[in-house]
Amino acid sequence: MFYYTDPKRGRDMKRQKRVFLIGLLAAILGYLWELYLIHSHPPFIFVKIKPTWWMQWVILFAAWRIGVFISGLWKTQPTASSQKENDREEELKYLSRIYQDLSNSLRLEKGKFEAVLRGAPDGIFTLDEVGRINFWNESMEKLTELKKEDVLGKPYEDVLTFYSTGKLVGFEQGTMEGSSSSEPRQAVNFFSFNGDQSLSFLEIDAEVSGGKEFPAAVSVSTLKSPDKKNTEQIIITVKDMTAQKEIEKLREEMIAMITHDLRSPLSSILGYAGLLQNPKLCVSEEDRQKFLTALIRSGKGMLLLINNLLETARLGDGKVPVISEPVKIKMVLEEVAENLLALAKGKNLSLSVEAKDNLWADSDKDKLHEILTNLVSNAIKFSRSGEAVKITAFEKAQEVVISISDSGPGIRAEEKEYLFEKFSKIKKQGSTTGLGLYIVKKLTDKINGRIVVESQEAIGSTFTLKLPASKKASSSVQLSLVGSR
Amino acid sequence: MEVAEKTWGLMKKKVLVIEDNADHQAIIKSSLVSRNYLVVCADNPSDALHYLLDEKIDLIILDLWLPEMDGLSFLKDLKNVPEFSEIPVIVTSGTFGSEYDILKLNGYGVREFFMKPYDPAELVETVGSLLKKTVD
Repeated sequence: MFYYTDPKRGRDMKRQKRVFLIGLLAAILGYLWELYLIHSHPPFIFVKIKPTWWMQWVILFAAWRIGVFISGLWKTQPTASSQKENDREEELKYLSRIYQDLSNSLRLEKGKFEAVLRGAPDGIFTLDEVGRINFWNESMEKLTELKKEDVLGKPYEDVLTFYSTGKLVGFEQGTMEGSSSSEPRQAVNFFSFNGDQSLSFLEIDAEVSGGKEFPAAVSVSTLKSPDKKNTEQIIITVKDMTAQKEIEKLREEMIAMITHDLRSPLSSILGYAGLLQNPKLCVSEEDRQKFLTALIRSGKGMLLLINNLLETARLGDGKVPVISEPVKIKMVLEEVAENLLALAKGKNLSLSVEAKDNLWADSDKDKLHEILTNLVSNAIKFSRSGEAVKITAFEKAQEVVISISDSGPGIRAEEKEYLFEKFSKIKKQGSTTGLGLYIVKKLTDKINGRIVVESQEAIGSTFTLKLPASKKASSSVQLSLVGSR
Repeated sequence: MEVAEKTWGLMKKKVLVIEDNADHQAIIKSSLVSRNYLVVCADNPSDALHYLLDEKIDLIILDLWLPEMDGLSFLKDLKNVPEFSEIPVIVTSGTFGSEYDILKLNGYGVREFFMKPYDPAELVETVGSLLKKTVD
């Protein structure tokens, strides 16, 4: 109860001791003064009365309080030893505060770091110094279909093996294994990584033990002991490259397809030219004419393909200007049929156009021409000798409906879904890059049209194009046969 | 007399052309017919098989890019049948990938490979030399 506690400075034992002693001294002095008052003759200069018993207590108390007050004012110079002690205490307090702060922020950082690693889109796992897995994130779980609980603590070779078919930079060369049917490959040993903590990026195959195999991009980094002799942690990031590989494959297929589709008419041209040029291969006059027609047809085929490729590139850029004006449908249809007549004749097909003479649509003539050329040449391509390709157009509910029908093999239901996609892999007869219908769809959207396909296997397909009708219209129906065999 | 015997010995040989492209069919057919070969054309492997079963074929010209079945698998099946395995095959292709594929072709005993576009006269000469080898 005698201890004095300063709210600012806290409990200072030394100070309290000092206050207590000075208070006691003041009280003793007060008591002595009282004794002097009581027993002094003549009475003291200031107080001329003898204090009663309660006054004695008041004086005692007042003296004590005055002593405490004075000691509070007294700022003593601490001694060297007490200074040292104080400093140590302060230092300890300071250090403990730092320790608290550090451990708090470390805990926070660790939590943050782990959350980032756990939720990272790439698979991340770490190995301890003997190669046991000690961290396995969620992406790793998804990638390998193995739960964290099942792999932690296990040697990584038991869970996942990485194979490389080439030489690995930054790794010691392992032994190549493999059968005659597959390319030789080596298992990647992460402990042979000597890339000195830097990152190594590898495109290799990952194989989950007893599970799936997938192409992966793997980066490895190591944490070494302070003497840089031992590897303490290996951090491995695994990126699933399946999608990229598929895109790569698709691109290769696309290039192969385009090459084939260009090379095919080109080699026809060169073949026919070779036949016509070589005097040793005697060609009859009738054949000569046939070959010349075929030469022109092949050239046109190439041109169409090249135009389609250019159009696809332009459509991809979105740089396709479209105009809207009244277009006389019959005229466009006849032009298209005229251009493709040679192609139809070459396959011994009949090609007919049936349209009202005065049928008008609000459209872009060039784009419409391109759409119809693609649709009709497709119909020709998929028709067999002797069959007919029919082009009809009429107006219905303020729309111009143009149908192109063939009696070809038709389109399978599952193929319809991908029909208008770029490089759709539908390939039946002849060559097709799968660009035609993609262009048709894109251009139809551009000119505010709609396209529908009806098809039955072995019966044929009908592509119907619907365009907004123009104010100009007529009722006369005219049948025109542009070409027949 | 001698000439007649020789002609008899070189009785018209029959060549099966398996090619889905009508132009290439026409080019090969026309150039072979002009050199007195009999030519049958098939658009696809199943038609080709019918010809093989029905007629005596002396040589096959096969395009690798075919509908329904790719040329390589057709070739593989062909080489597995003893009656057909001896027929010389000339392979043609518009797109032809890696050396790996060529190695595969070699594995099937195919030595003659024509990358499109090719000179029809050269093809006819190769047909002639292959058929001469088989006669010898």
